[in-house]
Amino acid sequence: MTEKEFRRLSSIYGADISRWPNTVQITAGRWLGDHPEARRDLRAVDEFDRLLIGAAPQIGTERVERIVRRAVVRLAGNGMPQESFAVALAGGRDWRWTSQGAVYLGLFILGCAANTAVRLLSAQTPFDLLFATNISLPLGG
Amino acid sequence: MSAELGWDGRETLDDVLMSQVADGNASAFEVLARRHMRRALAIAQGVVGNPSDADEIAQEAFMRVWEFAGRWTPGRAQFTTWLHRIVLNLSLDRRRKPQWVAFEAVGEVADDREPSATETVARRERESAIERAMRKIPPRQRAAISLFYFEGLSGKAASDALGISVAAFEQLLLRARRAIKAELATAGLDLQGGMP
Repeated sequence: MTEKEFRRLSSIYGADISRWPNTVQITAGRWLGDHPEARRDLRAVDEFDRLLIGAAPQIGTERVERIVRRAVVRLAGNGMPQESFAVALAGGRDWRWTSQGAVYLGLFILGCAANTAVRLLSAQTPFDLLFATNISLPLGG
Repeated sequence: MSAELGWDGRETLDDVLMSQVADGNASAFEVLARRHMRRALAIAQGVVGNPSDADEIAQEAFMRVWEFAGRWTPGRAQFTTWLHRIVLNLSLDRRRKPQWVAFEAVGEVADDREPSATETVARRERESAIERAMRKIPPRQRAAISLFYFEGLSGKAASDALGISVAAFEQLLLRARRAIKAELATAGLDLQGGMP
């Protein structure tokens, strides 16, 4: 490690070498051992680090608890977590709902098919045929 | 405080809790929120500066955790990285100008001995200078300071949370440190002998 590299890393990550990237910690420690004069510079860097760390927001337990409560209350007004479309179609992660989901889906498809069939059979004009096959209105009159 | 001091060991439990949350288990959600809310609040406040905005952001972040829990894939990434990213995105998206509050308003740091008047004045000057500097730097630089110094994340973990490379994170952190140091110098609080 060169002095330039050591200075670069200390100006980014601060004086605590244990917080530098894992790959350079050992070589940086050795370099520091061989260059005691660099310790003086690191002391000033450490002072700056402490100022930054000291500026961290103080988050009290009461505040944390208040926000957790708010989130839980808000949750009560929400539905189930969103699933991906495929997982949702399959009844979610809880596979016991799969059979029920399949029954409802089957009934829906059967209803759409029956409705389309009735409209096709009762069609009297080409427009009626067109509307009868419009699948965007499967349950419409 | 450090990412190495406990977060890694809790990931398995987080994965289990997330799986339960995805099944709609509100109790698991509450446990998960209680485990990570403090950090979500701290990161949000570190970026937006305003405690009430931070409260809203942290709460919203956990609502998104609930909403999108079904998309969570255990083992693909750490839950905390995912949560940090949600909190950061919400914080950085907040268009309102940050309203940093005075340090006195967010509570004093506990100290065993009574500081002298000179020490108190000197500390307030430093805090005030840091506060001004934090207000001036761009939100992404605040995020870098918040993740690395306030929350003790490693450079790798912080860059993952920000969704950038380690090299880009280093540049962000370097610029943030320089800007804050320059502000301290302007306030007459130059750190003697510091490395450039």
